[in-house]
Amino acid sequence: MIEKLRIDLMGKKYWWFAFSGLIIVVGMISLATRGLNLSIDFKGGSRLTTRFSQNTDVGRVRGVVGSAGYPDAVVQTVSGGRYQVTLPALQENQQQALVKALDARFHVTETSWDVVGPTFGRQVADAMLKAVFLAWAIIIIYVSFRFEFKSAVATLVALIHDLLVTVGVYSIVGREVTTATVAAVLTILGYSLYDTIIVFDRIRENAPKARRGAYADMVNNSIWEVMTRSIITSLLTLMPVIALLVFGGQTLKDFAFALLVGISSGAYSSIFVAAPLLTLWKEREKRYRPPVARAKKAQAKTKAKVKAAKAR
Amino acid sequence: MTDRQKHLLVLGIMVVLLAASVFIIYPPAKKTKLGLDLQGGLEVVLQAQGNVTSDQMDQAELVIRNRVDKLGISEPAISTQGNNEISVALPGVKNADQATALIGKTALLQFMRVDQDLSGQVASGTLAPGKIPADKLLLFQTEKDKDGNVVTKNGQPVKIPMVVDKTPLLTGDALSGASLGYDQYNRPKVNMNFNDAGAKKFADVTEQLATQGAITGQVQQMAIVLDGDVQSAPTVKNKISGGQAEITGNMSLQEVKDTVLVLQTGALPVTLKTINKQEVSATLGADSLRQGLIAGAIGMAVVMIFLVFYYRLLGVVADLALMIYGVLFYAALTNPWHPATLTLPGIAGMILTVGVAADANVVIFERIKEEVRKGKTIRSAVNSGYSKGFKTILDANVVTIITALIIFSLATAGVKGFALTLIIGVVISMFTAVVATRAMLGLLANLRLFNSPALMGLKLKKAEAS
Repeated sequence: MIEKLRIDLMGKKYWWFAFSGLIIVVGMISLATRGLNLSIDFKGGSRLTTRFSQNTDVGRVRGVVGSAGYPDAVVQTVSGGRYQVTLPALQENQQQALVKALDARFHVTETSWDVVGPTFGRQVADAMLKAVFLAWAIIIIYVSFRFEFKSAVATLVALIHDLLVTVGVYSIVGREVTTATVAAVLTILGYSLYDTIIVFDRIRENAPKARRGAYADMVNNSIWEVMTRSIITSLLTLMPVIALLVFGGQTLKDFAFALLVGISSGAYSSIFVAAPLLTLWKEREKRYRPPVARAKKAQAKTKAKVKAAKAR
Repeated sequence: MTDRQKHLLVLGIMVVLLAASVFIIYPPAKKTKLGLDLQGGLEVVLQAQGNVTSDQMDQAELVIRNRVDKLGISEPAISTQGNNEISVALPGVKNADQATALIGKTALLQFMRVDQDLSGQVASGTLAPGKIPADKLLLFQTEKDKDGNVVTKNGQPVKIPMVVDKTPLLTGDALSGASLGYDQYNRPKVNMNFNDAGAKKFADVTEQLATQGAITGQVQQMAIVLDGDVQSAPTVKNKISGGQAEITGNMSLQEVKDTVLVLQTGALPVTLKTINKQEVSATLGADSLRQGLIAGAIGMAVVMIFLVFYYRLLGVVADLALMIYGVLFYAALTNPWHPATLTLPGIAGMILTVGVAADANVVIFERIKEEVRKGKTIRSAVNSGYSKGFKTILDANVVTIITALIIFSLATAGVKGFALTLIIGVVISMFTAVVATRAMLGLLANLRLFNSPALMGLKLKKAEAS
C-alpha cells in the first residue's frame, strides 16, 4: 500500500536538504530572537501549584500574587482546576506568606511547591549537557564499529539535524524546556537512530549488488524495502505518545511533546538526511561514481591533456 | 528436542513466569511503591555551606535521620549526594512546612552572658549597631504575646536588641536530653538536662554570674540562643546545680515541641541551605496517577487494535505478547527484593516501552511478510523472519539502553525513573516480543489453518503467490 507511493528519493535529495535547512534556519532565527523557554529546573525559581475552594480566575489570582510583592509572577491554569504560579526562588517564610495571602482571598485547599535554587539549576543543566555529549560519543563509536566510518558521520549529521530541529521547534512554539524534556529528547534520539541503523543495514546488504554508478538506485530500493516498517514502527510509537499528550497531566504532556518532536524528526532524518548524505559521499568513490560524472571527469582529463599537449 | 517440544517448553516457562508475576503483583494497590509525585510528599535537597568534611556530612545525615524518625514519618529516604548535599525524601508527609523547617535547622544552642549596659545603649539608640566592640555580638529576641504569637508593629515583628559576649558560656554539646514541660501558669516550656560534664560547667558558669552580680550590684542575665535567635534571657541570682535548665517564655506548644525535637537530636555540624524542594499535595499526586493510568491504557489499547487490524492473526499473537509484557514488566517493578518506585516520568517511560515492544514485532512481521512474498512457505518465512529480524532489534535496543544508562547515571532523581523503566521495559520486551511470539507462531505454523497469507494481513497477487 505504501509501496505505491514509490518515488525517487535520492534524485530529490536537494529538495530534502532544502526543506530541512528551511526548518533549521527558521528555528535558529527564533532561537536567536526569542530564545528558549527554560523552566525553573535550569534557571532556578519557585513554582506553586494550588487549588482554591472559591471560584476565581487568572486575573484575580495574579492580582493577589502581585500585591503580595511578585508583580512579575506568571499565573496559569493547569488541569484539575488548579492554578500554577511561577516565581523567583523563594525562602520558606516567603512561600508561607504567599500561601497565606492567597488563602485569605480564595481559600487554599491544596498546595504543591517546586523550588529550585539557582546553583542547583546550573548543576542540573551541566549534568544534562554532559549526558547529551556522552550519549552521542558512545552512539557514534557504536555505529562506526558496526558500520563504516562514513555511515557514522552521516548518522552524526542526522543526529545534529534532529537536535537543531527539536531546539528550533521548542523555540518557535515557546514550550517550556524541563529536565524531563531533555531526557525524553535524548532517549528518543538514541531510539530514532535505530531507524537510521535499519536503513543502513539494508544498504550494506544491498551494496554488493549495486551496479557501477547506480549507488543512488540501490539506496532508493533499500529505503523502499524498509519504508513500511519505518512508517509503522514510528506510528506505533507515536500512538501511545499521543495518548499521553491528550490525556496526561502537565509533566506527562511535557514528556509526550518532546517524544513527538524527537520521533518525527528522527524518522524523517534517517530517510531524508542520513541516506542521501551517505549516497552523496559514496558516489565520490570511484566504484560508485555515476556515469555522467565519470564521463565529465574523463572529458576534463582529456581536455587537460590536450591543453598540456598544446602548451608543449 | 523437536521444535514443537522447544516451543511448548518456552510457553510453559512463560506460563510459570506469568503465574509468579501475578503472585508478586497481587494486590497491586498495596505492592506498588509510588513516588512522591504520585502519592504526595516532600523532597528537599540541602547543601552544606562552606568547606565540609565527609565526617561532618555523615554526622549531619545522622542528625537529620534522627529528626525525621522523631517526626514519625514512615519510609523516609535520606542520602548524601556528591560531597556536600543531602537529599531527604518524605513520602506522604502531612505537615510539609514543619518538616522543612525542622530538617534543615542547624539547632546550635548557646548560653551567652548578656552585656546589659551595651544592650541598654543599643535599645536607647546611643550606641549604633555598627559600633559594637569586636568581642561582643548583637542578637535579637522576638517579642511574643502570651499565646506565642509574634507581636508586630506596623506589620514588622518587634525585636528586642541584646548585646552578648561573643564567646559562649556553654553550648548544646553539654546537653544529654530535652523534654516538654509546663510552668506554674500551665504554659509549655522546654526542659533541658545536662550531661555530667555539662552539669558541672553549668554550675560553675552560673556561680560566676551570681558572684559577679553580687559584686557589681547588677543581677546578671544569661541569654539562651538557638541559631542566633535569643529564646529567653533569664536572670541568674544563684548557682544552679542539679544539671537542669529550662527555656520559658511565651512559646506556642508547637514551638516548644519543635525546639525539644531539635535539641534532642543535637545540632547539625554544618549549616545547611535548601537548594531544591519539591512538595506535592496528595490530591495532585492522585490526579497525576489517574491521568497517567488512563493515558497508558488508551495508548496500549490503540496499539493493540492497530496490530490486529494490520497484521490479523500475527497481530493477535503480538497483542498476547504485549499483555504478557505488561504483566512481567509490572512484576519486575514491584518485585519484593528491590522494588522500583513508580514516578510520573517512570509512567512516561513505561508507556514509551509499549511502543518499543510493539516495534520489535513489526520488524519481525515485516521480515516474515517479505519472505512470504519471495515465495517461501509460511513456516520457513517465520524462521528466517525471526533470525534476520532479531539482529536488527538487538542493535536498536542496545542503542536505547546505552542512552538510558547514561541518563540514569547523570540525571536528577525524577528523570532517573524514566531511564530505569525504559531499561527494564526494553529488556523484558526483547524477551516477550521475540521469544514468546516465536514459540506461539512456531506452534501455530503447524496448523493447516495458519497457512494462509491473508491471515497475516498479506494480499498476494496471483503471480507473486505462485
